[in-house]
Amino acid sequence: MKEQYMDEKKTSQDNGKWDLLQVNNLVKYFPVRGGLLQRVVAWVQAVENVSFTVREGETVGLVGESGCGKTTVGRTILRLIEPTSGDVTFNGVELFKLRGRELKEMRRNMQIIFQDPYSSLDPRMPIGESIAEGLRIHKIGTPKERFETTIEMLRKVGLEDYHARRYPHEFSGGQRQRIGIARALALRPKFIVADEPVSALDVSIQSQVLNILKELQNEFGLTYLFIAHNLSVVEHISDRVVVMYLGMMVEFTDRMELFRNPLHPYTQALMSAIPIPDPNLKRERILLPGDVPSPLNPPKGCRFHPRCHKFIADLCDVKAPPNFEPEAGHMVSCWLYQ
Amino acid sequence: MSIAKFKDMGLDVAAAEAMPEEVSQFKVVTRRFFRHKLAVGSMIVLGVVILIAICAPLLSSFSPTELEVGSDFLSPGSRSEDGRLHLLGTDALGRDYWARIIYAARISLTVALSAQLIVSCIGIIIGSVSGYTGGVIDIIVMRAVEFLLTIPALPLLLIISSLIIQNQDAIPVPELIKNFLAKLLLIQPRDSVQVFLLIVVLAGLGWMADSRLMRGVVLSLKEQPFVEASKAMGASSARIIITHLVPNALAPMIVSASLGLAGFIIYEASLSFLGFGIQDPTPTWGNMLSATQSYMFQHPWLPLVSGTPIFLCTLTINFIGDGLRDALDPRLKL
Repeated sequence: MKEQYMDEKKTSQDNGKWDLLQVNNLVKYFPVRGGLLQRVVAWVQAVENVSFTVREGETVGLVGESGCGKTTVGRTILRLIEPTSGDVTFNGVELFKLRGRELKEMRRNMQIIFQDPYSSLDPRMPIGESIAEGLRIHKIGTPKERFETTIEMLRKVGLEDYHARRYPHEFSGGQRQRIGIARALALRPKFIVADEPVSALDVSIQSQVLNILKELQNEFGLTYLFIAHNLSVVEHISDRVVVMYLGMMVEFTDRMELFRNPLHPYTQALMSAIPIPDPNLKRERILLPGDVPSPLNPPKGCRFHPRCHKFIADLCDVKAPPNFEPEAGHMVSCWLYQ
Repeated sequence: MSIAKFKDMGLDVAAAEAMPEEVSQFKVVTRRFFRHKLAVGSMIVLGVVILIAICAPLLSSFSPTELEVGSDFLSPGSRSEDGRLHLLGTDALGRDYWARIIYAARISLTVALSAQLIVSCIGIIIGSVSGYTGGVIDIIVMRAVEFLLTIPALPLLLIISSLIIQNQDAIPVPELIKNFLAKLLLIQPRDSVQVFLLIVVLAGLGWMADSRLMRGVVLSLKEQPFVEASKAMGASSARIIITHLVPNALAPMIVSASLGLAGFIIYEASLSFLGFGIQDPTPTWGNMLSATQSYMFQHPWLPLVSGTPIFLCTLTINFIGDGLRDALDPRLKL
């Protein structure tokens, strides 16, 4: 039944891949409470109208500065944070309408890998138990089978069998990150949100973890939403890239297209800031004036307009731009391309 | 997971055996605790006190309630008419003081231990549920706890326990508990009602601080990514509390329990001292100390002898608590 459904979907999409995940107009505001009665005094507008799709088996990179809402997008998709509005469709199911048992079942299909390898593992639990936790929650297999799955996962991420009995404090950061990956994989999910999985690691370990992620993607046919702030990491691992600025999506396109032909002024500035390992090559850098405004009180209209070098008066500061598609498969949220 | 289990599954046993044993949290903690000289010394002293309490019937040929007419206030080391030794002399009614002290140890320690055990359990349950649930429930529970904390404990304790002790026969206490306590403490079932009620009253007025502590720990723990990971895997709140929050909050709760234990010994003693706790003839350190007030100038060793175990227990328990705190704090590298 499900197979058939998937086949149908496949044929209806280009190059054999169909949208596993569709995010439509996702909005998340966090209340700021204050005063004696803990009343809501303001809203942090963390995510504003973000829409993108993730095709089965691909990696979508989600980039942006700190505090631009990329982590919030990831967590809201997984229902770790409840959304303010918008909807997310996964495998044909509307995630935000799921309750109780249905939600629990759905969680098997989507997992998360965290940024900080030190706090993402329970310090009082041997890592073997941490990895098997998902299997215990969903009552999959006998204890022996669960143990075998645990060992298999450990081997997959390049750790040894006897590590299962050890505690997190006995591992290095890179090892712990691999344990986190093994835990996310134990339930055999289809989709993984990797929330800056390498930003807390040494550069030498980063490539190791990235390669493991790629290998596992090929082996299990995984789909990743890869959150990062490092453009070279994103270029290495992503098929398509979403660029975010202050809670809004500014650009969404293929990786090659994005790096070759960035359309949004913010993306252009971002690209010009990537260092080139050639001291003789001079390049014009686009310097953005000022700082990122506070998401408590974002600028009216386009959120980027106070810092934009191609700012159109009476348009950008009045109305927020919708997503335009000047070239096929290249979405950009900017009035320049209307 | 033991090595034997690895063998059963035909896994890489050689590698597992070649590696040093895994260093569990427990081993790290015990190793660090044993470096704390004062705490280890205190542990030995307290261990001896507990051992004496357990072996009380073997250590004295007298019963704590055995009266000997005419031999009141015998000095330590004197002998009874049938030649048995009064190690610490006798009290105003001619009862052997050593026997009373060691039987009292059973009662005083049982009261303190069970009160603390109940308090810790209540604290862990209320604190974790309130902290993890958050929102309105948390606000209501914590405001209630704060309100109860503002009431000074000792006067309230005095009022409640005097009311309860006066009406103890009217309060239904399960026979099972009554008889169990009587057997454990080697007293009459009728008297064990008092002990049970005192435990309940002490626990009922002491659970707030531990609940608050537990809630605080849970509030910081529930923001940790490993809790989020568990949630992402579909774990229920109850499961997260039991498998992640409680084990991780145990360290501060153990420290708090060890310090609370000393507090309960003092509370029991002060209540009995003021005459609102367990009544004579059941011996406790508190009511023995209280009884010596009238004769302390004629027989100065009596208050010293009955005060010493209280002093010794609270001091050693506090030192052990300090040692535990240092051993359980992962930030301290000793």
